[in-house]
Amino acid sequence: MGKENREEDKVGAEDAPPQNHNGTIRPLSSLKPGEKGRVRDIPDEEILRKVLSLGIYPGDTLLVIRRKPLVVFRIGASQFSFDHRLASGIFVE
Amino acid sequence: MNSPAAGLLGPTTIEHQPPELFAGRDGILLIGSPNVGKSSLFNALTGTYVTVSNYPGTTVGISLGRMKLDFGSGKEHIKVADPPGLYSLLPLTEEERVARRAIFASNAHCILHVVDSKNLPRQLPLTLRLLEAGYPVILVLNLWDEFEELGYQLDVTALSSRLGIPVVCTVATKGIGIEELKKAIAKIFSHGKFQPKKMPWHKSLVELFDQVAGEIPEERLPAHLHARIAAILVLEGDDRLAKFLGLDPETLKKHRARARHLAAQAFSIFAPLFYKHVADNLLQGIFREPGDRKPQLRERISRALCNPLIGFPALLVVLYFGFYQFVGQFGAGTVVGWLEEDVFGAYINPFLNQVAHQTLPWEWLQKLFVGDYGVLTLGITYAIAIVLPVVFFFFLVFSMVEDSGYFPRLAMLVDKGFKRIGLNGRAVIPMVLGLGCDTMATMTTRTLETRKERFLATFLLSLAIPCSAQLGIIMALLGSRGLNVWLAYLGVILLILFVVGWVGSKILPGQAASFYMELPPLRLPKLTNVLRKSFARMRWYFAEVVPLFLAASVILWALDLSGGLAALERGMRPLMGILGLPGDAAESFLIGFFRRDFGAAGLFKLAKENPQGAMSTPQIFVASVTLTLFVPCVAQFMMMIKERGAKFAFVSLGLVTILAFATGALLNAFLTAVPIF
Repeated sequence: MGKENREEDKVGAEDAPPQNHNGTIRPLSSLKPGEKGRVRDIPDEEILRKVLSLGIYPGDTLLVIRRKPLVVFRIGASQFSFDHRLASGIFVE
Repeated sequence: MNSPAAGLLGPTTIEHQPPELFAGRDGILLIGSPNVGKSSLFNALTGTYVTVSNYPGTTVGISLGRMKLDFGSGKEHIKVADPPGLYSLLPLTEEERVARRAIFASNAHCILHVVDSKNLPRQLPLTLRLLEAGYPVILVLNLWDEFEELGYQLDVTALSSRLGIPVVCTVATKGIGIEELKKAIAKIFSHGKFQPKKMPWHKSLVELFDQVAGEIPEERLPAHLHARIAAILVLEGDDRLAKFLGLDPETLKKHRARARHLAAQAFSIFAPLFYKHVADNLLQGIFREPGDRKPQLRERISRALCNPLIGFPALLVVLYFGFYQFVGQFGAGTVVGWLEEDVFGAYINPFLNQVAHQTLPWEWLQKLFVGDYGVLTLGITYAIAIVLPVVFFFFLVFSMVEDSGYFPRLAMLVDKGFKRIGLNGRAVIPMVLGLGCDTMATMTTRTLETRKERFLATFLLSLAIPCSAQLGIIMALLGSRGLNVWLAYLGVILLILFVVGWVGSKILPGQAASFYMELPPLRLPKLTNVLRKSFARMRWYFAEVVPLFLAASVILWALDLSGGLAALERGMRPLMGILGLPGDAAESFLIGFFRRDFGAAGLFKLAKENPQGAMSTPQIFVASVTLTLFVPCVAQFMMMIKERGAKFAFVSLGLVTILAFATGALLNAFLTAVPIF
């Protein structure tokens, strides 16, 4: 039955790119409300595709509005809500 | 083909050529992502009304309308098609697939790409893809008022000349820019064939595209899909399309590796970035975003609603006033009471009775119209006096909440809870809509991302979500028995919903898809839109419900006359005994299959009209729970077959029946042992 389930769920810490020395590259899920970040890296291709198709691109600046219960952020004129599984796969600086 | 869209609404197979959208090249197609006001534009253009909503994912079918166009030589009607929103040409959800198929099947004279002006930089890449595919496109910059208010700037003329297509600014909800748009459309009709726009791909990539395009068997290629675009999409990882086109997976793998090599990264990433880059270059120097601004009131309310501490109480307020007070008390109580007793009971039905007895010679024929199961006295009366007001008031509230943009925020709030039952927040819409009409809700489950979620949601709808007509009547039944009975009912149904959902999520393979959703700005619902939308939904409901009510009446009448009904009821009486119900309740369960609400309505009558042997509170309680859980109505069952397949529908039917009666029997046993009511 579940053949067409996407494999988007295996994102986690193991996929995290190496942190640079001063630790400025962080997953979106760790940003606090009011913090800004630039989308740097989305290592998981499935997540990347999802994000790209929503019109969110590497280099975009986002502003985090909420972290709980889900991450809410703004890019340009739009607001999006991602669950933590997705948000932890998006790395910003 | 009488209904070109019908084929596109069917189940999800892409393994057949989609039918062409228009009979001749006499139509236009509206394309755009959710929340850009596409449906409002459709309404502004066509004058007729379809659903316009502030929730991503409520337009699941393709709406078709007609508009009058002035060609200078005279006015003519052309067709307008409005498929669901899509973010990109690589679909993630079923509705995006429906929209994309509409594009590929489109022999439209032109495509209106509708964008939210403020989000032009993020939506222009899709315009470029459409142009690259050779579709004649008009770019519609909608929500232009918000754009200007917020301080954005754009040189529209420059954009138009850089793209080489007409660009029109509109405010669809206010009718601004519509005339200009119509002129642009009329002009395109006299235009010759459009040439695909060249994109600045590297030469080696273009060679690869053409090589892949050359491998696509011509008969497999959708009539209105440029082979090179198909090639780009399959290289980007569109396996469904590749399968549909009959491409060899092994060769394709090699091509994808080659594309990755040429692009120096996965082509599925390179391509979107490429289009975005081209779009950014196009907007260079002519588009300006305003700086940061302080959040305004609307934004502050929006943020508050995302806060569980405010969002959930807000939900309770909406449920209490909107649904309980307005739909339940006023709609299902006051209005239904007035229609049923004062209008139908006192005037219409006695009159019909009299007429029937005077004009129809045989009793059996009289009974067909005005008997216990008469088409008029049962079918029409139930449909109009009991069900119609409840459903209408429900849709009114639902549409208002929907247009405000509250649902995406609710989806976000309930996501964590829903994940425990194998769904994600996105499923909140089918679930809430199910409280209005489960059949309609079953149709919208196709917006859910994974098969697992679609199956679970469909099943839970058929089991534990009572539709508004049913709920209204059950409210009336339980309401008179005290708040504790009502709460117990709610508790049992919710418990079953969660337990069955949880077990289902463990049994079915896979996981709920990750939740992501755009939160559209909160907007004050426009009353005319809300009313028109409610009427449109009513029309849909009515076209579907009245024939079933009539059919149910006729079948019951025939069964009654032939003695079949009595036999069936006798057969079901022992079952009623297990539930501790009077044997007469069997009738409600029997007709409940024709419509859930129908069965509940029968129960309502039984409880009211039977003063000497009136049902006790535990009986009412058990009957309400069992009837809520019991089989969906015929219409919902048909929709389940259509959306999920016959096998799933019949298995669900069996499971639902077992679960309903098992729960009823358990409750009865429990209440007999522990008389809490």
